[in-house]
Parts: sequence; structure tokens; C-alpha cells
Amino acid sequence: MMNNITIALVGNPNVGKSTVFNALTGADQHVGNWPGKTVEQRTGTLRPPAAKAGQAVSPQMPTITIVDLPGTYSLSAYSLEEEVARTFIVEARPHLVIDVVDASNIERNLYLTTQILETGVPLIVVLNMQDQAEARGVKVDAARLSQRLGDTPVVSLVARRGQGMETLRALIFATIANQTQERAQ
Amino acid sequence: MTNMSLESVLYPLTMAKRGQPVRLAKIMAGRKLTHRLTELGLTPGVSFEVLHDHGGPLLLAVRNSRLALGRGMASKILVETA
Repeated sequence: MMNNITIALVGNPNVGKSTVFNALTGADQHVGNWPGKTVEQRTGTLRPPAAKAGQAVSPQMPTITIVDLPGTYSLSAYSLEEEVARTFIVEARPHLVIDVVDASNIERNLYLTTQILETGVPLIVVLNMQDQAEARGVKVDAARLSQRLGDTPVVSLVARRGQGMETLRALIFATIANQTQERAQ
Repeated sequence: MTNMSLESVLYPLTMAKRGQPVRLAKIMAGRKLTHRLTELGLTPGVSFEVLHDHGGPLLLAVRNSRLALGRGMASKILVETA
């Protein structure tokens, strides 16, 4: 039985990692619209999915820690912030990595995604800023992208408006539950 | 085409005109910087343009994103008019 689960949030600079982090943890970490705002990793605890009235919280639910890593363009560290992100993924080996991708800038963002896939860590891809992408005339087919990434789950999000957050939260818990089960067997 | 005439159409990015589409021909830098610029989307053959050049760092439009680049790095990037 695993009691402590670590999830890492990674992505290019200025794609909305901290917004996703705040939405998942309920934290009120400062969010700014410029790259390089997060220079060190910050942690928070994932809130369980909205509990229905009268429903007991499962006692077996592990504590899930979310780490908000500084933005990085690749895992081959060039700057100090990138080294923080790289070391965490490659050496600390989180149970799950959530890769936040700017849907309006997908070509450059997916470079990091492929590098993360190569490390073999369990991955969820979050397509953020779908609204901005559509305003630019970019439409991303999440299902197709998922298929092309070797069936990596892909969730569409507009994090600053909270759209898609419940889907992401449910997917995280489902993935963690699966992992816990697999390890128990 | 001889090497000389090929060289003659290549010029450092710092000399590119604002708004003029250029194509990346060569990065004259070490392995580390070349790798870095490649990761940022500046791959051989990619077309892009200079958005701003006010004497300091250059602002580029590369692959649907903006990228600020110091003059030192920019001078190591050889381009041709696209």
C-alpha cells in the first residue's frame, strides 16, 4: 500500500502550470503572465474529487503531493531552473507526471512531451489554453493526439476558467488507483 | 554551386531586416548552444522573422511563438532570405 504519491507538473515556461497547480491544490500561489516566474519547485496537496453529501471519504486514499516545477523547454538542462525540473523527473521519479501543453503553441511544446515519454514515467498530457488556440484558428484533436502519443491520456483545459479541471482530477485519481492496485498484486 | 557563392548569401541574423522572412542556414556555435537553440525551435531550414530589433536583444517570431534572443547568440545564427 502506497501512502505517499508524488505528482510533478511540468511544461514549457508560461503555459499555465501554476494556474493548474492552484486549481488542483486550492493554493493561492502567485501566477504571473511571464515566463520564468516559478524558479523553484513548490508543493501542495491534491484535494480529493468533490465529495458527494453523505459519502464517506475512502480511508485508503493516499496523500497526493503535487510539485509545481519551473518551466523547461527540454530535459537536457541548460539553465538552473531547467535543472531543477530535469533532476526531479529523472532522479526523484514521480509516480505521475502532468505535462501542461500550450495548445496554441503545440509544436514547440510537444518536444518536451516526447522527452518525458522517453523517460518512461506515467504521463498525463494537459492541453491548456484551448480558448486562445481556437482564437488563433488552431484546433487540436485531443483523441488523435492521445493516440499518436502512444495512448497517453490527453485532457483539454482552460485552467484559468476552471474548464476541464474535474475531468483532470478524476483522471489523476483513476491513474493513481490503478497504479496502487497494480503494485498490490 | 561553389562554397563561396553559397556563403555570400548567408548573413548573421543580427543583420536581418525587421519583418523580412528568413530561413535558418547554419548555427555557428558550440554543441551546447546549438542544441539549445534547436530545442527552442530554431532548427536548420526553419523560416522565421525578426519582430523587433532596437539594438538590444532581438524578438523573433518562430513557429507560432515569440522568442527573445541576445545579440551574441543571434550573431551566431546564419540565415538567408526566405
